[in-house]
Amino acid sequence: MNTLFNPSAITAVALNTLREAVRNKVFGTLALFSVALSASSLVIGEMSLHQELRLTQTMTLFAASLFCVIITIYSSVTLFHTELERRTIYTLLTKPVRRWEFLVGKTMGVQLLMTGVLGLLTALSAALIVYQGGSFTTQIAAAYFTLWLQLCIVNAFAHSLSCIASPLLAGFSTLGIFIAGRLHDELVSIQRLLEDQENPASVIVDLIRPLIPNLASLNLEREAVYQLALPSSYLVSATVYALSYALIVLLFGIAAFSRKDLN
Amino acid sequence: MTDTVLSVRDIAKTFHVGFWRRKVHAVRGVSFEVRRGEVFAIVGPNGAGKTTTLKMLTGLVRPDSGSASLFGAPTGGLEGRRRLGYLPENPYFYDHLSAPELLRYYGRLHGLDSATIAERSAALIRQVGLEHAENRPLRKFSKGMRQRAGLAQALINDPELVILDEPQSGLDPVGRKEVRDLIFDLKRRGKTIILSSHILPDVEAVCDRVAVFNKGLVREIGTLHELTSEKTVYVEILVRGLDASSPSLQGLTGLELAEPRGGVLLLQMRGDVDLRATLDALHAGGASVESVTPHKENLEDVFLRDTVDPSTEEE
Repeated sequence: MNTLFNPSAITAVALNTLREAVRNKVFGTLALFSVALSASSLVIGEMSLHQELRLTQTMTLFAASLFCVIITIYSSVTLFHTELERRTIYTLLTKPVRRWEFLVGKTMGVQLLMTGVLGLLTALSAALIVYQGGSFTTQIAAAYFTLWLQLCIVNAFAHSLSCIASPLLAGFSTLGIFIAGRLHDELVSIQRLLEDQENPASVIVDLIRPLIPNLASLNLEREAVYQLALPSSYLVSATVYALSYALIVLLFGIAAFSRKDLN
Repeated sequence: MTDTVLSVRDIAKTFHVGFWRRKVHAVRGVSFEVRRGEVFAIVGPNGAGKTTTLKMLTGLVRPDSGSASLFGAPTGGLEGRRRLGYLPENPYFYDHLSAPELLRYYGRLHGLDSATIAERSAALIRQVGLEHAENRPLRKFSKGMRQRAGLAQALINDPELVILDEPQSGLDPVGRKEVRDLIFDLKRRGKTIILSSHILPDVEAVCDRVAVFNKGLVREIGTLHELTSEKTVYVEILVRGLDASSPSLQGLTGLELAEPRGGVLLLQMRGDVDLRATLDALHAGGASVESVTPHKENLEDVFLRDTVDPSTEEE
């Protein structure tokens, strides 16, 4: 009997993706670097003028952002393309697994991986902050949570673009989207400036801006470091925005992948 | 219950390759049927459209035109895939897994419970001879061992139809024999098998019917008996006491070839020669006849007849 979807297949693909990533040497090296960069904040903090705590907060969050995005893009693109290049996908999609279930499983596997990595880096950051005599505040916790939400969007883009592009193109395009998303507020300023100058390029910026995810609004580095209060409904709306955005991006990927010939 | 497991009607597939999107007609309208319980072989040279056809049957590639049904439903559907086992050509699996982990993974994709997976996995690993490498990751497997792991994954769901694309590729003679035995065993258990292979003697040994593919078309289809004629194509005679320049060979009617081979002389005669008169002439010339082997048309002859382009044959 055909059910609407096969949760055991999605779980199996997700867990296999997670296991494959964990056993990958490049992933281990990247994870080690992120831990080393976070830990180096203690040494660098010593060189600052009594800004040890602030530096630790900034550096650990920066290290988490940088390495988590790199690991997400690397894992998503390589693990997906490895299935195509090594043709493991032939044996997989001739089992009773729908193509969208495969893509969702792959995406979930990478997201599980990133949840683990980010959890580890969050714990390391908390330990370093406490060691410096500070406290791991709600704002810092919220900053790590919204980083996880950003990774959901990056992950969805990396997988969807992998369905239509080469690994290199998919990886760099996703990185470009991440950077543009982080500079979303600057894009608004640029568009206003171009509009004031009656420059026709303002129309192009105006057209592409809504398509780029507003990752700037999910970046709480300032709030975390300066302990700025967050509106009460912020986390709910941020979660709804990020997950909806990731879902829509993934739907485009599913549409492309379901029409793809695996020759 | 229908007796036809697979029905293919005029399916075609064209790929667009390269920067200029050059058209490559991989399959140009192929039709055939596979009946329950038979071993159906697809043979043909490289680029004949065999693998593309098999991929269309498994849902990996969509046909541009035509239709194909598996167990009465369009190919590529979930129900068909539940009853199907597929071994692709030159399979490659997840490097990080061991054979039991691989089978557990594929078993889960089939929605099997843990007990069934454990039971079938152990039996299949034994059947394909991988017990000695149970704890070894697949990245340390040889090509032949990967092929065996591939056969095991194709059978994890105890399928009714097994599609094997070049299952003997990379296997040594012992491995090839084991695959042949496995195919016989599957046939005995009532499974339907579609087999694509270049190893024609093995195909002859196991198949019930053959389709010869060339340039994206089915050139011939039928049982071996239907495809080959009963007449003798040529006769090989091994003799001692003569050499290739012996005068007694000059008057021999129907002689096509005379060459020394390992201390004896091989004579290849036309299939329609008067054998008694030939043997008498050889005896009269002082030869001692070691063996006489008549060769009838086999699958290789059919293959060559259907696939060798006469325009390039003389080059």
